[in-house]
Amino acid sequence: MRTSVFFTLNGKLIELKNEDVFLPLSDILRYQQRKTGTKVVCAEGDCGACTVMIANTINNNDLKFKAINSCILTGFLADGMHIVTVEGLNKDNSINEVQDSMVRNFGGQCGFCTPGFVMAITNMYEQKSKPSCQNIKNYLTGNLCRCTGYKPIIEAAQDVDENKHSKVSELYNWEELTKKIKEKTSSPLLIESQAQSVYAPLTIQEAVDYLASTQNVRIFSGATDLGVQINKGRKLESKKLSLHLIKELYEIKKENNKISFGAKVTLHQFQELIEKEVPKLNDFFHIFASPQIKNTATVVGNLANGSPIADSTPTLMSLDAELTLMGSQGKRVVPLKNFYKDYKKFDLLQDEIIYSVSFEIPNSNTKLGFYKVSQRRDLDISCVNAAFAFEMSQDIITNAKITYGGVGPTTKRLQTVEKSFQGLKIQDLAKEANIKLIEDNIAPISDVRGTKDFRIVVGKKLFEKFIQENWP
Amino acid sequence: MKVTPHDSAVAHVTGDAEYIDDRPFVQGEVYVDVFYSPVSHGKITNLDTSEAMKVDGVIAIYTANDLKHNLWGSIFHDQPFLAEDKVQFVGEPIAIIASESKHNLIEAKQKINIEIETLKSTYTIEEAITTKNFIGPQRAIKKGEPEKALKDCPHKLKGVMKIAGQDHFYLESQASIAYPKEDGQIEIHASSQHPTEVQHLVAEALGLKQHQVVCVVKRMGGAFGGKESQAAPFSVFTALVAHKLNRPARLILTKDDDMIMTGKRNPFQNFYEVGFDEKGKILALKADLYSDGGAYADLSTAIMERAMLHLDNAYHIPNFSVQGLVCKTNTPPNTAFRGFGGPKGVVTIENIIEDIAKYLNKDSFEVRKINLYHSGDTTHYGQEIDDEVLPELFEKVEKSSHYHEWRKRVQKHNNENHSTIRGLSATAVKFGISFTTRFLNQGNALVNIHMDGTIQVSTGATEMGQGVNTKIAQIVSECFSIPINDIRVMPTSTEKNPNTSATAASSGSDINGQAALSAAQTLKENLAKTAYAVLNRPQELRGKAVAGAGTAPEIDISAISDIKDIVFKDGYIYQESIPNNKISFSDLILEAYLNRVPLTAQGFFRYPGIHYNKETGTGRPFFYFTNGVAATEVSIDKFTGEVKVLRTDIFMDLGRPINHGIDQGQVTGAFIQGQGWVTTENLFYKDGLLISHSPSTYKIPSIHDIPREFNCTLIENNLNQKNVRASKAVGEPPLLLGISVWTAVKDALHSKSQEVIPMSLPATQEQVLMLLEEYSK
Repeated sequence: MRTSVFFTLNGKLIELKNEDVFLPLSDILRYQQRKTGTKVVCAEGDCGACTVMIANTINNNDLKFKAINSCILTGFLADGMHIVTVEGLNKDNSINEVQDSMVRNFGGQCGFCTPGFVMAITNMYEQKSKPSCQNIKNYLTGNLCRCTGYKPIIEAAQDVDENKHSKVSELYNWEELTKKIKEKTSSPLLIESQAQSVYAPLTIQEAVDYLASTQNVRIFSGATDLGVQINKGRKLESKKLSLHLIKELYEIKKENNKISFGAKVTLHQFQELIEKEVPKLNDFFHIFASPQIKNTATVVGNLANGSPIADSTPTLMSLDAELTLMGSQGKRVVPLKNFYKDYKKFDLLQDEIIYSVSFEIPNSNTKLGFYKVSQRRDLDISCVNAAFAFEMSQDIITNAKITYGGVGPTTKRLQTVEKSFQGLKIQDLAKEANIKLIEDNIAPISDVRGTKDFRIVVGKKLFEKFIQENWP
Repeated sequence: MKVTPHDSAVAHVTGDAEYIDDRPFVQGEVYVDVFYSPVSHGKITNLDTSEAMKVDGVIAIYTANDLKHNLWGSIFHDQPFLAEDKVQFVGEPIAIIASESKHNLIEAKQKINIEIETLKSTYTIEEAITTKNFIGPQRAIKKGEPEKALKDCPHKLKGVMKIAGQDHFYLESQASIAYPKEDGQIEIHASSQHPTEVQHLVAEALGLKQHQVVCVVKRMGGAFGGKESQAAPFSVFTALVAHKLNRPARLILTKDDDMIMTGKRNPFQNFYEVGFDEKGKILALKADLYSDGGAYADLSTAIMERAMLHLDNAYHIPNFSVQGLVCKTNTPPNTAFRGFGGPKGVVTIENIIEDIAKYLNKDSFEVRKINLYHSGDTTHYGQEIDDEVLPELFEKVEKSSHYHEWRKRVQKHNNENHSTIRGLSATAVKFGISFTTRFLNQGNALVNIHMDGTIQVSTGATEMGQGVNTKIAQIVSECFSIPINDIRVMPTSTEKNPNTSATAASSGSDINGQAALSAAQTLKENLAKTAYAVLNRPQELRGKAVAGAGTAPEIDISAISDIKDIVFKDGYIYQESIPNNKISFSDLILEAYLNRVPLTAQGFFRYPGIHYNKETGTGRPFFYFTNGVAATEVSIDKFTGEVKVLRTDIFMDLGRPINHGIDQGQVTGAFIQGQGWVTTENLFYKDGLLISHSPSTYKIPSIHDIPREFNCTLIENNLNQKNVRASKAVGEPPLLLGISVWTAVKDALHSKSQEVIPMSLPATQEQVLMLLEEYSK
């Protein structure tokens, strides 16, 4: 058993021990490594000031650098990562092309968000050449600036001369560093400090055995929500199980029409997976979370969080996704639509974890609509979300799948409504009585994101929008 | 055009730029946190900190009793630093905790046992009006005969404009570090727009003299008015800990605590009655403005004054009466926010015009045009308008933006069946530059030239991203005609520049730039005389050759008068008639030193010719006006109420900008901040506690929210010679152009409605959809 976490920071190997592994990565960078270019504003992954680049050496196939929020990455999750901060971008004391472009285009004013933007633009050029204005906006969704109105930042991002820019993947001798860190992280991890512990096994069986034998364990996967809870002073279970060393959980499979992916697959990887297969879902994922979050958070984590306003839940529910649960006694399959019992209550035993998710790619006769309503279009938590998948035979609805979130304690399929729509002609769908059915089957409450009345109105309107978009 | 980047630009992009929490920890430094009231109004019956003191790492907990003086306020001294027997808002500081460990602070706060007997709270302007719960006197401004004129008007509209607050959302939360020094002195490093106030309040609270306290401000990670008055208490808290424990003390608020504890832009409710003719010319306006001041006065009365002074905005209204009152509620004391009262006055009149246009079935653009000020008109407070460029700005929108075709496209879209509705509106800003309190309009600067010819400049201006230091460096560099890299603007410090005003009211570059220029000119005059003498001496008699030997007579600059011929150009000084005989700036500095010519000077500046009597509501409060116009097109999703800004064209008059790039950034940044205020930024309170206290629930604009097409033009205006380098102040005015997004939303809704729609601010998606449901039949 290993008792230290290892990562590289700007090309240097770092070892973390004891209580330190439970600190947010941003604290480790700022207060232990004096890399104060990484800023913390919100401590909840919503502003991007803490953006750093990482590459994960655990999942062999993916040694690609990408941006993440360091403020909500709990220290032990940095295990096996290469991390590059803004200080690591320029090795010879001169600024790089992205930085220079930000300087000459007045990309910074107060400067507090600037290192985060520099990292986010660097991330973009890591993945993309000759970005369009829309690409730039998508890559910078996760970074807030209060001074510039973003215009100079967009201009700076456009003005980067790629011939002069050196990518992060070319900055250091990654091959050697990868070899070094792989040696260090090849064994399971167990760190027990005074107040808490973390266990990171290498196999799924060890993980579920641990769950079977241990009470009150919190599972850490992408942990972007747990990172927020830690920062906001909420007490989590003192025993933590991290899935980051279990290689099979990173797996993605596509057989015939069926897609399945493991618990450690990130939202970003999921998006890459569906980009061509379900373009509408891909469009929806564009307004859902920032690149930094998508590079860390997992789809399974979003489902397992159980929030009634989680955005992947309605989409996957309307696609009839199934969960494979793994327990100490083996696997079982549960349809996602039956998984949620009540607010944050699941069909899941103490020793079980969600192992993988699978769903069938909808055929061309299926009309789709994925929507979210939030105060701000991008990077905002939904007030109401909805997903529609209508299987059609000519103009007859043969199978209607309707899922709503934000209108009750769990995301749910409106099965009564679905039944009454079956066999209906599409021309009759927009009738007031049908739309009223939606209202009758949702039960929202008022809160910070919207009033009950608004949720009812917009709930109906989303259905009308779906009709208008598919049968204009 | 030569581009001069922000003077910290390189430090910003590398992460080297130092903010408060980036300062290295020094030996013995302790962490400070604030325990604040969980209820909005009540009597403290018991405060027990004994359990919290037992938390590992906690060293001390201080309360009001530990302060020598406990009342502060920028205008009225009505607010305790630490609540004593009663609390008046959720977030009001009660106790200060000092700990060796950052991570135990949360636990310590949880273990403070407080018992509060809850009293009835006032949360809204309506309640405060009913109970007559006000702060400060009612102010009034009157011109003409509004009552009589209203009676005679052919058309009238009456309404109430409800305006919500806005959080500053500066990225760097309130932050301060205090270092104890010998003899009870304290050195504070704060993220503050007002180091002088920090110095004074720290001294007062700790019972020190002002000369025992120094406040230094290197830079802020954003401020926007939120660190004008409200940074000071947090410095008092760190100073208290440093003073008591004789250890350095650091307080960095979390974003959540910052948003819960600090005041916002004041909400307003403005009741109005307006009379106009069939063309839409406004003949009379009568308005009662009420603002929500929160629990204490802070700057709210001055904010109200500015709202009243800006109710006319760009429009000449012959009969005018406005009254203003600040309401007291149990919410955090509201405070300065970019634009001060201006936006609340301006959005009210812009809303009125939008409604007049709907009522008369006219394009609001035409209604605005016929109401515009022209040179020679007089405002409601009696200031004559000169060098007016507003008509020119409207002409630019009309011609360069092809307004009328634009309007036709919008109408065509709305006549067809789309899932979106479009709206178009152009609003203006005429923003008065100067503090309305006369004595605040002063500033001083210190210019030190070092022997290698490089210069350090210090002023009272604080750098919060607006580029004031860059502009000051440019002004000084141009004065001496030396490279800008040879000028460094130093951290603002009360030991170099005392008795300064807050960097506020958009006046930072005006006042401090002119003060720096005045100091530089003093030095330049002496240097020119020195140069004249040196250039007319043989090389072997120059100071450099005879330094210390005493073999050459010293240059006496007081004996030199004729230096008109001397020029400073590109790093050299020479007589224009003999350009070959020249001396480099650095050599001249050495000569000056060796001849005992002063190389340090102070400068002072006050805006001349301004006065305003707050009791009569008359005078000439503003040195000049900064003007602009923005035309905005929005699109509303009929199904969700989602608002997209499709295009904005801004035309801004900034005189002759000192730094074009910086000013452009100020304009686009302020516009988007204004757009956030009028659309997505929604403060949601429950029992006086701000629930939307982080970016997961409080939505400032993201990069996707900016206009799809975003054009920003700074027009050329050489008329304004009053101000430093013929420039104009830029900080606040363009924020008010964000109002065009709100009026464009209203225009879109009006296009589907038979009647004038009452819409409040912000136009959230929820409000838009619900109004659409109600009015589009």
